Amino acid sequence: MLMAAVILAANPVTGAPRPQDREPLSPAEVDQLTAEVAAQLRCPVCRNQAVLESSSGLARQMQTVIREKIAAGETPEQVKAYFVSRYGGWILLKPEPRGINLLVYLLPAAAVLFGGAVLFRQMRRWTGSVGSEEPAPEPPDEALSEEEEAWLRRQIGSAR
Amino acid sequence: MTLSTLGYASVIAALLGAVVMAVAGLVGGYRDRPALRDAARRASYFCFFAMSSAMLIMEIALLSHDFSVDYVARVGSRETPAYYTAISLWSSLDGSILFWGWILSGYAAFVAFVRRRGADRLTPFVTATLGIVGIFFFGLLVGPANPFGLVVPAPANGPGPNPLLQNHALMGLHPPLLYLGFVGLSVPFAFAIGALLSGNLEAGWLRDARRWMIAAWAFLSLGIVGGAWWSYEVLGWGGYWAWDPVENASFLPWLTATAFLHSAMVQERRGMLKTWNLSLIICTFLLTLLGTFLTRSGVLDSVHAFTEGVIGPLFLGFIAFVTFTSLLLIVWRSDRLHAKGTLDGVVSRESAFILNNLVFVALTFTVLLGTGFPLIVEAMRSERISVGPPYFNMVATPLALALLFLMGVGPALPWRRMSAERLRRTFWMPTAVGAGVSLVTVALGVRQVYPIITFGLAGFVLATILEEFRKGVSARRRISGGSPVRALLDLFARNGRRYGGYVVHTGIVAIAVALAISGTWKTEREVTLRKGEQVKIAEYTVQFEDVWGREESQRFVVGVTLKTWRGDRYLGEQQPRMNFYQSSQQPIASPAVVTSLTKDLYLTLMAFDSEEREHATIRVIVNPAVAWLWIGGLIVGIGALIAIWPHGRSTYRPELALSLTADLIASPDAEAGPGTDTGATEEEQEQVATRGLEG
Repeated sequence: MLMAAVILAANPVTGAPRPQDREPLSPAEVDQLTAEVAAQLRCPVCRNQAVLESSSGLARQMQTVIREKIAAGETPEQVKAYFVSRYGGWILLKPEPRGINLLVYLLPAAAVLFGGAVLFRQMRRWTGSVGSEEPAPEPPDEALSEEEEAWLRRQIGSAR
Repeated sequence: MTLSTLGYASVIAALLGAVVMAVAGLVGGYRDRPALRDAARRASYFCFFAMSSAMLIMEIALLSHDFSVDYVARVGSRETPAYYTAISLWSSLDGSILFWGWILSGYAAFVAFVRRRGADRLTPFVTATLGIVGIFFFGLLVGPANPFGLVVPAPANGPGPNPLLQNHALMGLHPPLLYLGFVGLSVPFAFAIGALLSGNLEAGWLRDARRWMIAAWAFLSLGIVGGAWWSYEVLGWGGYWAWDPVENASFLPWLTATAFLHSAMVQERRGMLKTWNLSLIICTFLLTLLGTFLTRSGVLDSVHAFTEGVIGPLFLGFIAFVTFTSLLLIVWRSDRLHAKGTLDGVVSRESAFILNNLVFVALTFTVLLGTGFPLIVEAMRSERISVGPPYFNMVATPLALALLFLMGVGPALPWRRMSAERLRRTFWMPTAVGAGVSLVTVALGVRQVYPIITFGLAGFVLATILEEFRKGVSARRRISGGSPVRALLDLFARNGRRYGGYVVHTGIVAIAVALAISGTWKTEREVTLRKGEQVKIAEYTVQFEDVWGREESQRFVVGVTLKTWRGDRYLGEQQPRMNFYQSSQQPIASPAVVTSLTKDLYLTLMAFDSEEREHATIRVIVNPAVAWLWIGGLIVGIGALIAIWPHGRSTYRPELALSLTADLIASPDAEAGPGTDTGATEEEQEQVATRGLEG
């Protein structure tokens, strides 16, 4: 806690140069962006709380820093990058999507795709074995068979 | 005899009882010996008796401040009020395991008692499995997590329980519910293992397991919602769900249990998914163990904390044992696990359930991955990262919406298959309602994508549910007449599982809508006010009156008095506080919440002027629709109760069966499925289904 406070104190807000081409933000916009950034940063002295939600002294100070930086015209990305440079990637509640962290984003998608593929095959096997006694209610709608597709291509080709 | 000795003796007795349950159950079941089966049953009663006495002794020790008992010396204190002393049983690891063990022994005795008459081969194996689980937990109590250790000399006073656990009366509510849910999941697990051991893998065990699963699931659901409520009312951060590992640990088995409750129906109806259902039950049980391991071993703070305790490795060992044994049993019985039925049509209720399972499992995987990922990275890269709410919300929301969609589709689809014509007829109304709701939302100026989708889906789901009730009620009135209300009650009584399930769905819809609203339109501001100064936020006005301090027996309380209005209506004085405990450096906030059906005014004291008492910093949050989370939770509980409410086993009624069979003949493509909306009990439906298919 003390360490963290010292780090913060030793790096006073320098007021990054504001890009010239941007309008100054309205107070409401500053509030909103501050809350957005504060929700993405971890309170370093709490157990699993975002800066936005924590009432600890350090989190309040961090929120003040965020507000000042946003008001000075920094983008949320710049503000987050500032805190990452101070505390490391650990400070972000949503890990940066690079390196090994990509796994935490890609694996769920891969799991859905893989599960879906397995299920699709299994469904085809299940529905496929019915045929003998009862007629299948309706032909599968979407996909064309290979022959059909080849035939279609030939037709299109010859029409040109 | 000291309480310490008596308590320890009780736990040892329970351990011996569990050994008898396991051995007598296994041998009695395997060799088919009635005497041994009886012995296993009596051992489970004995276990419950022994654990009850251990619990009672611990409560006596806590309430009489007997600090010679190790656990009391660690969590008790003379200043803590009696209520919090009584519930400090679950404020620390070994007390929680004692409580866990007691509930486990209670479930085991209850199962053995209700099944005492039947001479089936399943029961002794169920008792044996619960005995083996009992050996693990009671063994922990006898060994590394012994709460009854003797402290010599006894200290004069103790530190008191964790401040968070004595901050609010709600702490007495959700932990017992969660434990009842968590431990209750061992019962379906025991049925699964029992069925594998006995070799009888027909649907009988599944029906019983599912019933127990609903009970445990209901407790777990109420526990999760109760935990969210506690978090909201006590922690003062204005939210209710933080994707904290402890919360995720309770959520993971809930997900797989919910998946099972649906896929079990596919097996009951169609004889499919046998191995899958066994795996879901076993995974659910493993996730309760894993959750306990993750949250109790300290491993989540750092991988390196793991090796410091004994409990962690023991849990991991037991998890490995359960996984290995279960896999072995499934492989051993694989010849009896072949699917009997097949899928007749892709558009059918069984497909909807199977898709539901895909999404539930994907969600489970994602939450598990997110919770454990910091550990994986730390172990591989010795670099620390965090995975928190922004990640979970991003990944879980689309999956949750997919589930909401399936919730509307599934109940309206018939078993087996459905023609395109009927599909149109069934779904045009709910689809129109859903699309209408979405359009109205957009017309009202909402531009956020997720709320628009959520409201539309909610309309869609509610429309299908209402349509199902309408069909059910009119079918019942056709058969037995009477008023609509009478017909509705009849529906609940005769097919509670199905219509109770719809009530549960209604509760889930309420929760989904509440989540979408409160997650999107929360307004908050942090203000520093001088005496007499006001702040307006949304339609609320808050005026700062005073700062005060008060000494209580176990803590020092600083609070502010605020006058509050909603519009012109005076809401009274609110007093958000900070509680200072000796054992904690950080004060524990205690927010003031003014709840209404539409919006909550949520006030937290962030800082105060301790010198002059002139000003204070307050966070004012206006949280819309949060009350519907709790209402939704209650509806879920009621629905589950309807679903497991025991109804007298119906006698076979030929005239009803005749009319159902007539329906069946009238629709020869069987697309409606036997008895789809006649409101017949399941037994009747099944009797008819069998006949209909044979004929």
